[in-house]
Amino acid sequence: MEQFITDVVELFDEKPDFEINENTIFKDLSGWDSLVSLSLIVMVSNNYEKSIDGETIRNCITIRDLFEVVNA
Amino acid sequence: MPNIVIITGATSGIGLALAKSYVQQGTTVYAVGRNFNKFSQTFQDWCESRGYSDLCKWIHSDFSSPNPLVDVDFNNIPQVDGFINCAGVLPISPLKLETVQVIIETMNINLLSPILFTRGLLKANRILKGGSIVYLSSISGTKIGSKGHAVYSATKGGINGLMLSLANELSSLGIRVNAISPGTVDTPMLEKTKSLIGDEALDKYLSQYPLGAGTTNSLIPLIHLLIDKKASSWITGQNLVVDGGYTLN
Repeated sequence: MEQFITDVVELFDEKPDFEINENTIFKDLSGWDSLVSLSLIVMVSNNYEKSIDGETIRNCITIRDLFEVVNA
Repeated sequence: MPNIVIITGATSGIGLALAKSYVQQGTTVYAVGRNFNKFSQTFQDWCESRGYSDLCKWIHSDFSSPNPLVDVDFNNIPQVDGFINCAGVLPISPLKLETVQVIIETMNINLLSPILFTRGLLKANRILKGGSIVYLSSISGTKIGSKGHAVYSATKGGINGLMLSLANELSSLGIRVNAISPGTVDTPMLEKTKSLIGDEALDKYLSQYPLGAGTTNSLIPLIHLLIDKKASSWITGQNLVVDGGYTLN
């Protein structure tokens, strides 16, 4: 999970100045937009060899939700 | 009506639809591709079942390879009236996450191989005087710059640069060179985009086309026109945007 959180935070150009954990609502983070959403899809494909799409991201709220989808 | 044309990317999408449209009107099509089985399944079998076997020819060339001409003997290809480059791939990713391998492959397929193939045709004098070259470009990289399309846009901007200079270079031979820049149309590329961004986001995107979503068939007559020496004898060096009004906004 720690590595996954790091990978997600890396997608944001503007790094949050507070601690991000598995309960963080990632879409509330400053800088979240369609490009970060696309980056997330590509990152999961590159780093975790898993395909997710925009609908999946829309259905996730916290980083843990994403992590569970990626590791399902 | 042209006697013979060469079409790259003729095993799917716009290239395949174009190849079918040409044999239906009696034009011989040399389909350029890397996968003979795919050519056979998508185009050759279709031609055979409709009595067009004699009009359906194959040229093996792997555009993804750094040396796409290794199997091509240009002297074995007859002189042609038209060359239409439809081969292309659309990787979607922010540039900073794109892999070097995908960047190189995209540059090869979308830009370098079309340049090398065109050069081969010209060196062997395979395009008839008064003939026509059409490059399938895109509004990406020539009119707009969508997020996640940086590499694709770079190749399409490059193709338009190639088209402009070549139009000038080949004018003394009466060979016309033009590009068509479509917006999103119903091809396998669109299916790939859909699988990435999802149905809802895609529908929202397509709703931004004032004339509605585009179809492959809306492009075919325009390519025919640019290849036809009577219909477009005085058109060269042009990038024709075919996007249902998308770039108006």
